[in-house]
Amino acid sequence: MGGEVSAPAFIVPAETVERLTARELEAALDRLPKDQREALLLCDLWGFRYAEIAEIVDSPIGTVRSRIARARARLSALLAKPAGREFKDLRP
Amino acid sequence: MTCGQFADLLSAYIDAELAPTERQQVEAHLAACTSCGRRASSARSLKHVIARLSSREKPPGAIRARVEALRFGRAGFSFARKPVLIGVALLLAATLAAIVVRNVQSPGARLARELVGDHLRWQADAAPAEVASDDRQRVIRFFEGRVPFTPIAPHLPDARLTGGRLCKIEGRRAQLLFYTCGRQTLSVFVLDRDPGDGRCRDSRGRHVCSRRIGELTVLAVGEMPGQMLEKLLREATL
Repeated sequence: MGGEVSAPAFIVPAETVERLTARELEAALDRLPKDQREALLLCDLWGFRYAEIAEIVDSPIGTVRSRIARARARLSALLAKPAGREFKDLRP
Repeated sequence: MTCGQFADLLSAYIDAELAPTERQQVEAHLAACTSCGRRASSARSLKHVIARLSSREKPPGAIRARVEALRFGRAGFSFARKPVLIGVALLLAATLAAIVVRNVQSPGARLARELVGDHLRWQADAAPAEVASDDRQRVIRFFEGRVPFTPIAPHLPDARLTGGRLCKIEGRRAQLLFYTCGRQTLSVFVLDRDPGDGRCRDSRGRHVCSRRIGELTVLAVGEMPGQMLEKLLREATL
């Protein structure tokens, strides 16, 4: 179900999460592929269940699950990078 | 279960979207693997920070409920293959719903719907707490400096504190505390003003009761009968 899912290989340190500003978060979210960002925000920001998101975006629930997992993996990778470094290698 | 298999399931686990068997497998692996425990904790923090930092854009529970009602109530209507329209459509629906709700409900009823919406949302979350502890002082310390008042964590008879998280009620930062009472979950909101008329209200099969404690208002939301909820709040101590 959901195909291949990237492992969230990066662990964002707790202090990084605590200091994260809205602008930094938005910037990282903007770097996600659109379908992943859309699924992640429908889940985390709007609080929709996977089944509801699947209906909204007209995709199988496994695809939704996969998109959200990949979005989190990529977001973790972006935020775990030391400040000042570019994320070219992490672009989709 | 290997760490690789765990990684595939982690995201759905923190969203409480796994079947019981898969959930048990993940929890067994988490209990044995420190590295994956850190990974889970990090993923959970990110989930919470998205909800918190973007809270100004988040529709309150009542509006979200209306959006859902609009979406599910119109058979045949679909956002399919029009992803650009999703945000616009939801925003329009939320705005319309806000106007409708504002016109037909008293402030107390409106707030009750919002709080019950939040209660249901966090109840469905596998790990809703930003601070998970039954230690009242630890929970209070988490809120210090994060809410515009001196935070509290009331002792409720027969109920056990399990943690809390920051929330916003009508645009102001407030405390959301989680308690268990028998097999039921209670959400207790603490805010620094008096938002309603003090009556107990029902919304979507849940009850909302409030009590003033000094300058603060404590609102409890749960499935238990309103009279029991009122009694619990009346006997609350600081």
